[in-house]
Amino acid sequence: MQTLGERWRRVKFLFQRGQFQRDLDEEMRHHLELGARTHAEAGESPEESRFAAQRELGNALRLREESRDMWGWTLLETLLQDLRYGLRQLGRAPGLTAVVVLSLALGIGANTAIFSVINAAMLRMLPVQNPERLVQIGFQGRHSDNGESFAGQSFSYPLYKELREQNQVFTGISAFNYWDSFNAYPVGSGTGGSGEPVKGQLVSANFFSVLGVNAVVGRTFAPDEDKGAGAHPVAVISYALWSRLFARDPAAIGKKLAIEGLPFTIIGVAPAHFSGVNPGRNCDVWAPVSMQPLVAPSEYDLLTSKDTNWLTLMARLKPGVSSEQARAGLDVPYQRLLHELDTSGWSQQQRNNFFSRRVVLLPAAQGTNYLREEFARPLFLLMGMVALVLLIACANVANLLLARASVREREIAIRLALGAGRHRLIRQLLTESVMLALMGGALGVLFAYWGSPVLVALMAQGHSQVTLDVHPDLPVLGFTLLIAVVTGLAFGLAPALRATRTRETLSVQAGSRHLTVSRAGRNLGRVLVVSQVALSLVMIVGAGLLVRTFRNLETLDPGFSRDRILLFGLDPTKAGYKDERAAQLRKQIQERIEQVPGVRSASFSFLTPISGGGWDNNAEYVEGYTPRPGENTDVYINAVGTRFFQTLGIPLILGRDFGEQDQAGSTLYMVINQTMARRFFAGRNPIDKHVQLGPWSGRQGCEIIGVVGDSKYLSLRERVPLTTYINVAQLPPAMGPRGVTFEVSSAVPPMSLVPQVRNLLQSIDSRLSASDVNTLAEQVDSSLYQEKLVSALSTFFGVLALALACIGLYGVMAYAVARRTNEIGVRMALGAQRSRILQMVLREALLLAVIGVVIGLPAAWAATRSISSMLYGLNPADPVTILVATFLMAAVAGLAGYVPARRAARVDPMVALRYE
Amino acid sequence: MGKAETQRTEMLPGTLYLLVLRTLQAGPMHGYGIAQRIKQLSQDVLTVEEGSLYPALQRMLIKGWVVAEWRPSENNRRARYYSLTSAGQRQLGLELSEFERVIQAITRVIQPETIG
Repeated sequence: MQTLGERWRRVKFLFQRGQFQRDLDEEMRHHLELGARTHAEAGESPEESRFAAQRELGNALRLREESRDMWGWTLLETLLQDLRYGLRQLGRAPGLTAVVVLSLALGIGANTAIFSVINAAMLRMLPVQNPERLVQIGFQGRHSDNGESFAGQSFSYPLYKELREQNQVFTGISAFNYWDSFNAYPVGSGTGGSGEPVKGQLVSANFFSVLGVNAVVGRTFAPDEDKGAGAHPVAVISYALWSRLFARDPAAIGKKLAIEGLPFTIIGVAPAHFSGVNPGRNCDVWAPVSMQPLVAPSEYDLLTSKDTNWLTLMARLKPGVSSEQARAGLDVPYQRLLHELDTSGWSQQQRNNFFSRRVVLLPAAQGTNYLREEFARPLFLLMGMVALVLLIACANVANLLLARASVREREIAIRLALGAGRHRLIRQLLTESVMLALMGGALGVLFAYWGSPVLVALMAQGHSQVTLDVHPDLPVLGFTLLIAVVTGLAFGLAPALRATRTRETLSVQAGSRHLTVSRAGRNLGRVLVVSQVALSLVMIVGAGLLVRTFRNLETLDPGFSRDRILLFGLDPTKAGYKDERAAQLRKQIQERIEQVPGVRSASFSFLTPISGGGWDNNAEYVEGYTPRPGENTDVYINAVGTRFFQTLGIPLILGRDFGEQDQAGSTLYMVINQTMARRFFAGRNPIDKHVQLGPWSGRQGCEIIGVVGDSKYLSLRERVPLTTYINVAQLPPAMGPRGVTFEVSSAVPPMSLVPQVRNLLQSIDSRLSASDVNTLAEQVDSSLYQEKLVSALSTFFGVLALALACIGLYGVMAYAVARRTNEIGVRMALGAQRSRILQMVLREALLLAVIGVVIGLPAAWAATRSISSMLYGLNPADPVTILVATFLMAAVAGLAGYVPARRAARVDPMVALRYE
Repeated sequence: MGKAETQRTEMLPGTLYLLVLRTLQAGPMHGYGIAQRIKQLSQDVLTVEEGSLYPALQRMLIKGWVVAEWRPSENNRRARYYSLTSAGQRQLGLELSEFERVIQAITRVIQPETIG
């Protein structure tokens, strides 16, 4: 044990090393003088006296080192020495240093970029009290209709209130909706509700207290501020919004904020780093959940509806209660509440499925898991890819250092001969390589700093907005430091071990040119290149599969025509139109749009294809069809207007389309797709048959009037589901959607129609406005943003890997040629043709590539199996991909080998022989 | 590797500190002085390997048993004088009693008849 004083003296020593050295030197000089004088006094000659004194003292150099060692800083001091020496060495080969640092920076930067996104999306803890005690409440069970395994994380408001009341295991359960509920506008002085909208969320009053987040100014919600629909127009704002709108003026408390036209009073400001509990979705305003009917109106009464699940629940475990205890504890009231729900119209099977639901608790220290679920796979895939890139970069650098080690062979041999310890030399060489890696890491952080926001922007291309703070924070920098050091050791170890092998001492011959690398060294270089080729092949095959998947999905025929179709949303109820008048308005808009020049036809529907929205129901009765027990007869539904199929280019196969004559009150008609026709009416005519979908379809059910072609409903990857279309005009008012989306098929670029459409709506009623204007092509494309993300990035990393492997191969070949200049000269002098020499070198390069490919193909096969679920329209062993990848690899290898081969063929025999 | 033959009388391991501490009890002294004093007092039996004095002194500085100070020496030159600290005094006590114990033990071994 060291005492405090001891430690302090050691540290002080560290900063007075120069003084220490001088003191010791003077002290020992003084000692020698006194010793010599004693001997001189005894009558010895001055010379003898000096020697005698020195003899008595011992080896001064060793004593000095021993004295220094006593202070225990030797390791640090030699490290500093190594660093200084290493810097000089690196400075002596600036070109090599630059190439090494750059390739490491690319490798490390790619890793840091991906990791910082993973960190921000999945790893970063919420800035709240004891985040590890937070859990998100979900459930798991069987889908009531089809019995398939089913997990959910949303709950109805009445269920939430019951759970909150009956809870025994949590200090509190809070509820909030994941999606942005509303837009808030700052109320300017006099201008009234102008400026950019900010995102807001509805939360239960205990939201902040469950999280343990206190307001920095003002207060958070009082416990009863979520009672009474629309009763408490109060809001807590984020620190960012406070800074933006009010320049952090505490007087902001009490000011107003316009939320959907309603003035809300600001009661508090959340702490600086708190931006909600949903990673990727920053929130600026929080309002009580009871304000929902006013700020986020819905066709359903969300505050009382027991079967609309829209809230995410987050809870804090009571001290001493484990997650499993809490799960079991919450499951009891949950089960009871499930049984209290109205399931009277259900079959026994459905009821059994429904009651199989159990509470599950998900750790929520990092916030809700939606973003994690969405991006975990692509991000981990990319992480794997960049790890491979780094590995390839490492192999490259190891190769370069190996070549350099042969240049430094003399230096090292001399140092070994002078008595330097091998360990000491290895440490010195490793210090150099770690130094290189750290320089690469520093540059890599810079690359990541630029790259991560690009990555987040790519992630945000989909329907969901993603905002992630990917500024390098401590975990990211720690990660980078770690991989830099590990990388430095990884690529430095082999060259260092090899360079200091003792038998190499033989090569100390002044001015010797016989500095050939041993066979072992050459082989190590080749092994590295072969593994680079193999790894790059894995990368290229993977990237190829993902790119082809994306192409397959992009060019796939979804069953509807995606081009030249304009979409816009319209909610007639916002302009005061209800029921019958809304129906008339829709028809009027449809007809007026169809008169616009360039428009082929127009329609409207509740849902549009690949929008992410769906409506499904169990087909409880199908005329003339007896389902097998347990058969899944779930049917997807869309409510559409007239000429929907024509507008979307979905072919009518049989029967007729909806017409103006089909009105509310008469028999409900339906059009089904081919898949449904084949499934339920194989070989029979489905026309005039009846299908019952739910209580709303009446006792008789709907009558089939037509069959249309299959088209994708939820996503491009799906197998077309059983789909049925209902006439919007025929739906009972309670079922009728508030808003619809209009589809306009045009002969001109669809976006060019937007001004005309807006004018047209204004001319019908100035209160009407189109929302979510988009093209169908764009909507479909944006459903592929993940595929686009991974295919774009994997291509980028694949090319990077290929480039690194190419440099590696080139380096090894160029080095081999330079080394064999002599031999080649002799061959030529003996009559070898230039073309033979060219072939010889090229053959060697290609041989290495072929070995790499032979090893790489099975590796690729093994690796790509893990992504098989991400592929579409091809399997991991896709021959085209593998062929193209192999060809690409061979071409690159040929290129990398050709340049050195040509140099070899151009060798002048005379020069080469004199080269000796 | 041959063992280095030594002409000097081997000291018991660890006794160097004891000797130095004991010597310094008489007052501050520089390195050469300490070596001479030990030689003198032991009547040349214990010849401190003069060089090894310096690493030992470093260690004692770290431990805080001694402090060093530059002072003019008798011949009007600067010399580094070491003096005992109170921690050094305590250490000397410890080392002495430890030494006693060892000596007694050795005595018991080499003169077994005196015990019974």
